[in-house]
Amino acid sequence: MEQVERGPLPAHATAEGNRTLPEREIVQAGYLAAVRTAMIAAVFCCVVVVLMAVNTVKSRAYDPLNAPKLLRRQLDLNRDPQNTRLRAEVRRLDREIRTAYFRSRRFAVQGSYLLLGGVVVFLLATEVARALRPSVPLPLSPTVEEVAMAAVQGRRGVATVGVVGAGLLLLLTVLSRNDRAAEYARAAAAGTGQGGQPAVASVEPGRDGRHGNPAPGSSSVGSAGNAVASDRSPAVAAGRVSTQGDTGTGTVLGEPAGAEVRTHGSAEAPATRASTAAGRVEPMPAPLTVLLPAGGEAEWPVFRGGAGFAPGASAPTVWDVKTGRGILWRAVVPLPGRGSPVVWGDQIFLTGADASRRAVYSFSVEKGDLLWQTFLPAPSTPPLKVQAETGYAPATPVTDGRHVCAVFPDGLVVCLSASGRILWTRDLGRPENPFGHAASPVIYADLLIVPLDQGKGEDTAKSRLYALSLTDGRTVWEVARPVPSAWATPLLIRAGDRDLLVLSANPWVIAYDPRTGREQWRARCMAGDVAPSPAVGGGWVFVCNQRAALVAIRPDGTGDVTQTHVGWQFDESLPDIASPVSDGAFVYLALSEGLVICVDARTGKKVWEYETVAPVHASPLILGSTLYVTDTEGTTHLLTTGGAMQLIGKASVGEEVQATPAVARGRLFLRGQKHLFCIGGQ
Amino acid sequence: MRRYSEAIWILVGMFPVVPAWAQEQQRQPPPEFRSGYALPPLNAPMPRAEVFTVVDLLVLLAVLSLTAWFLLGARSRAGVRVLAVFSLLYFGFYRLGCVCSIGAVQNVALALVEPGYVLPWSVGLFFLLPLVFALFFGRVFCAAACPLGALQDLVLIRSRRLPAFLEQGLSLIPYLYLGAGLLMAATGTSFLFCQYDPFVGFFRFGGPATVMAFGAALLLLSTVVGRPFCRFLCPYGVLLRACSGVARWRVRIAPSACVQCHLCADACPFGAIRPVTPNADLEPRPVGRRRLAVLILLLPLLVIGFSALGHLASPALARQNRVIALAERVWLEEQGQLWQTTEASEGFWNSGRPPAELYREALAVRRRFGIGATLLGGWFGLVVGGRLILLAMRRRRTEYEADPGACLSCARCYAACPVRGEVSISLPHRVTGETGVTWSR
Repeated sequence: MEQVERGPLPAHATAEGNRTLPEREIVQAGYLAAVRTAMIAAVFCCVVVVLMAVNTVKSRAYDPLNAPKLLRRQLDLNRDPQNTRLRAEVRRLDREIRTAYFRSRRFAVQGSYLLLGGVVVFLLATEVARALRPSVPLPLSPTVEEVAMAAVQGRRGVATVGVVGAGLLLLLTVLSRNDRAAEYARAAAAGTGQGGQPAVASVEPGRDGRHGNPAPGSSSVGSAGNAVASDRSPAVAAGRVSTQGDTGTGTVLGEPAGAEVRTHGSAEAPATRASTAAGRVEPMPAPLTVLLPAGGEAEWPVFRGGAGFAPGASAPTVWDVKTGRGILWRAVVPLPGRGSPVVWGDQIFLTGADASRRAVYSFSVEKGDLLWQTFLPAPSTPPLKVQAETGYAPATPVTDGRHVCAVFPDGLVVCLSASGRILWTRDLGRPENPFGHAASPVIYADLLIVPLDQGKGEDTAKSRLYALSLTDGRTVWEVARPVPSAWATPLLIRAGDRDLLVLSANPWVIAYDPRTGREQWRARCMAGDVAPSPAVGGGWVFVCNQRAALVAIRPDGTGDVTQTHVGWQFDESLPDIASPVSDGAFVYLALSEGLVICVDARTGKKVWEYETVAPVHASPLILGSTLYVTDTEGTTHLLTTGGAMQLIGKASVGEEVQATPAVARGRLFLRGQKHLFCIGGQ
Repeated sequence: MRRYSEAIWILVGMFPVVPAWAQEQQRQPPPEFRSGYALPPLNAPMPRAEVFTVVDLLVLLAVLSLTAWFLLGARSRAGVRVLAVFSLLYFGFYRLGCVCSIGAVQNVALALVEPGYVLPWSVGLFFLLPLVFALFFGRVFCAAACPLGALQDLVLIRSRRLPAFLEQGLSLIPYLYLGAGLLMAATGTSFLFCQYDPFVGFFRFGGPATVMAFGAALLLLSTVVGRPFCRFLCPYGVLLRACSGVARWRVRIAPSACVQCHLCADACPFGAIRPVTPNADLEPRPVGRRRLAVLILLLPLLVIGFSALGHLASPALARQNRVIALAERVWLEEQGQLWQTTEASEGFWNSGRPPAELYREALAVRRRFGIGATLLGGWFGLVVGGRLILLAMRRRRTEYEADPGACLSCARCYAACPVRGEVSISLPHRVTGETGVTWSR
């Protein structure tokens, strides 16, 4: 065995014994000083930690985004946006909370440095204390029993971790029950090859089940065998087209029962000869389809729900605001506006504005609660001058369920998320419009199409039609329009294999390819200040205005179709604000003079007229087989459609109405001067 | 003090002397306000220059080399401590805990399975260098280069031994944590080690409250338990442990010099010095053999069982992945079960991307999780079964041994060893051993 030379004992074992008395006293004093320093440092650290903890707890109340007091005040302000005192208080609170928040942040950082310093002093002091009075080690080798016990305990420890691990995996297994991998696989397989299709669903005016809430992920087949889009998925919805009109089957989708148009609504090519003589029976053109945002078939996503014609819709016919009968709820709209409501899912969107503020609102379909309101950038200066009849929020917003887009008279275009967050805004410049810009935007695929006709008389240089990307608001295409100011909303249709955007103005009615903005055809047939939007029915596009005529145009032409595709004209009594509506057999007009006129869609002859007495500015709607005409006094006149009119009844909401109603889920949503009414459940 | 001053002078020379000039640049073009509002000067500093990456690597290399030299050549616990303080200040407070070798494990894992991900060369070297040093010198990275270890080491006041139950049980957690972290990184889900780094919040003076609280608790525990994070959580420690097992030069106790005083084992706060085993049998030999046989037979069953559990649990694990979570959300929104969008789903819808494409991507991630979770389960079973087998094996020690895997090269045992002077040794190379605990081959 090799010899091991023992060296001197370690320092801690010998140093103490070699010291003299004064040295020992010095060491003792140093030790005590180190221990006391360590204790003071420890107390200091504890105090700093406590102060930092208190600061952390307190700072929660100063969270600028979630301060309860501020949120409460903001809610109060939302309910009462006119309250300037409350507004000032919100601003003061906001400033106070932000100041306090940054003060607490500074405190936390300074506290961290103090704590760090305290810890360093504490560690140094303990180190010195240890060096001055080292603890004498008492090494003890483990006994047999201890080693045996340690082995047993070690095995138990490992086994315990194993059991805990297995338990954790079992728990995760239980949580894995709702695995959707199979659904994804099915959906992925179903969506193969459809990526990149335009997100456009087709809606037949009056197709079956329009408001029927079809089963998720399913598609229904209409009575004429046409697939009806019913899926929210753009990929699934795209390409499913239900067409209007069929040849002699008697089961044309969407055509009202007994309408003669069905026997004439042939897919065969119509006569190419134009006729301007009212009263002549015209062959019915090829079927048309109104285009809505994907998934919008069961919704009311745009002004008039597309073209104002929803024969599959069930809507209430009796209500009375005085007795509350049929009124499910009534909600105050904070800011005024003449734009109509649009509906998607459980949300109703509408806009409101005055000279200094503007906002987009979302109300709950179910209870009328104000789900959110988003105030938009303040109107630019100098203040915009608009006619009182137009107001500051005359245009109807449009939605595809994910975006809510609105246009304001000063050229502001805003796109919000369905939860009310502003995604982007565009300033298209203040339009030169004598009454105030009021045309509503529409959505085609991923494009927001905004008409901005402006100028007077021959001055048409500034009129534009914009297509903006829904994603970021950039201009995808832009075309100049040879027309002055107009207030009509574009109509999106599919005619044959062409998608068309038809826009009425003075003097031209022009159809564009909505993908590119390329002009497809134009007809010179309008005059005056054109506000009524185009309608569609029986294969015709109907346009009208007070100083012009009600004109039926076949939309399958190209170039200037004035001489070739205008079917007939009706020029007796015409609306100047409300848009026409057609069920395919007849066209219905609502006039500001308080008249409702029915015109035969084949001949252009007046069939009947009805007097509302009060002026009508809201566009009439055909819901089921009932014509809904709401006058400015808030009374809705319910008339039977067809050649023999009957008054079904009248119902009032008791306040002025300028906006066109919306219909969804069997409920009618009517915007009055101050309130939004939900009517249904009779 | 002399032993400290030597080390401090070396470190002063190591500090990068590149001036930190304050250049600033606008991050984005400022908006124009019609109202005449003047935008306050919101400037962001210049991004860190590439040269600093090289500096970081050089500093790491220097710290590792110096640590090895302090242990092997200078045999200086003081030098190691000064280096640890330097690493804490540089890699911790100055570099804010990033880049670090622990986190680099995840980058490497992601780069191995995801061809589209390019591993930054500096990250790769941060991952490799400590392992290469461990292969030759043991865990020198843990000794002084890791700011997390340094922080815990500095606050250790008086070490207490943990019961064997906890010591053995908790020592499995790094293996399991490593497996889970690799799964999450390889599937592109998250970098778990960075997300739940308990001490990075201290370096940055702020972080998520729960993680900070966990870090504070660990730090408090570190005052009485030697480096709890390094021993019972650190996933990189698993790799270092494996590498240092074959290290050529590392802490060994020279049998010829050892007087078996137990002082080194007593001084080691990590329980890394294995004492001499008692001569008496702990239990009858047949019992031990039977247990070992049962455990060896049980190992495949454990691996298979845990693998199956891992596979079954994969859907729940997969939900942590953002692609899966988004697909689930979009699916529910598409089905009309949810009508409000989240920011993520809103972004998806705005992108115009077809949902089918998202579902296909989600399916691919799900498949990856299926495989990964199965492997993770198997790894669980292997670790638990393997450790049980190791514990059941009887090894008789007649000399004190430093466990190469558990030893963190802190050099505390040097100061505790009472043996002094030249040591007569029978090893082929000279060992400059003043003490019984030495670096040898």
